[in-house]
Amino acid sequence: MLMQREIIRIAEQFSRFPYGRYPDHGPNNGERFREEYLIPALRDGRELAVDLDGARGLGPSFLEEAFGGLVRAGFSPEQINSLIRVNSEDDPSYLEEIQSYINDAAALVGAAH
Amino acid sequence: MDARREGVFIDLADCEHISPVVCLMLCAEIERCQGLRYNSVNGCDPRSEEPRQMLRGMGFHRRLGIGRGKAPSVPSIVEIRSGGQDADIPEKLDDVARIAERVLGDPSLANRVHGALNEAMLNVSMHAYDREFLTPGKALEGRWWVAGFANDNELIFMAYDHGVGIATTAPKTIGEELYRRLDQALAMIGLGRADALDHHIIEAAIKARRSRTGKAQHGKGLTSMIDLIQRAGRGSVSICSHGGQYLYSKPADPAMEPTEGSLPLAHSVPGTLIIWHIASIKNGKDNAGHAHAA
Repeated sequence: MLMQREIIRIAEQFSRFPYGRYPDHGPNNGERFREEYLIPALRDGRELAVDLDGARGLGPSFLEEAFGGLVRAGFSPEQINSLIRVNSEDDPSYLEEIQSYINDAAALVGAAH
Repeated sequence: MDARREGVFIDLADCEHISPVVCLMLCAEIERCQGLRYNSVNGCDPRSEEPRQMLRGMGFHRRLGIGRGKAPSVPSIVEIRSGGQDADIPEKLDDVARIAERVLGDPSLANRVHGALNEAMLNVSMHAYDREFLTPGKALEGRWWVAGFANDNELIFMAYDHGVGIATTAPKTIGEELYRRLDQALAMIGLGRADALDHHIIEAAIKARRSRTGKAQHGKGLTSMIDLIQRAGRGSVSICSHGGQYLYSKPADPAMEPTEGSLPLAHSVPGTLIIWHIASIKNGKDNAGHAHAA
């Protein structure tokens, strides 16, 4: 039986205005999105589709903390890429940007060890 | 303005012309003084209609809570707005995206413009008022001011803060990559690190951020602005921070390379001022005749 990929629509289920990295930047920060949505899925081995459409003013800090932060939390790029798919019909360039944050975070973690 | 003095009267009566940038900086300075010492600033409007209209249109009076009645909003203007370490910065700047979409004709690019401004204000709240360097009682910590306007197919945004300056915070936030680039640039003109002025450090900081090496992806606001100029087709960004200025300019002609550089300022800015100009090239045709505003 094929498992359906769970869909998280950021604008509807998290916030229309995701912003910042940490809780002191505001309630809809990248750390919270990572901790509440992404990490549980990775730990459970669940496939996840993250839909960015409709989110307003997405910035590098939110995206890097949410997705690059997964590497700092101990997940490999391979684990992340196998389970999490990012969708953005409005702006597909977000996909490459997010992948670069994952790759750069992995390079920094690798360099530290 | 020194909040310890009796008070300041700003006499704009004979002012014949005022630029949007001056509107923004003057508004910020008045708010700073009023915030540090209530009722320390008074003033009068220009007699001439043109500067009065500029002040009104920029939301100067509305922002400061002065004047009678409500001036109509101008659709092509993003009135002066201000915030600090607010959670609702994206909402405050959401109409940026609407004006950007109308001018640039590209909803995804407009959303990116909104994102870049959000990011710039986040950087201000995180770094610009570093207490290690800030003189107590001189600034409203964490405060930023933003305004903008649209003209045909061009957008101009201005962002301002009273922080300690990029040259002061960059060594702490960027680290070795900054020093590597700074030493390299100074060596090319026969100088050493001890000779570095603000503009040298600012330029090295921006280039270090754009290289994406060094620390994890912090401080991407300015690089986002430059990336979006390249995506839109034409534009410029000018950053004046304390004693130095950095300039980046991309012409419409794709055969011409962007230019960038830095220079010392004759008069120091008490913070950081960013002027970001972004223009689209629609159907391969350029909007003729607009000069870069530094």
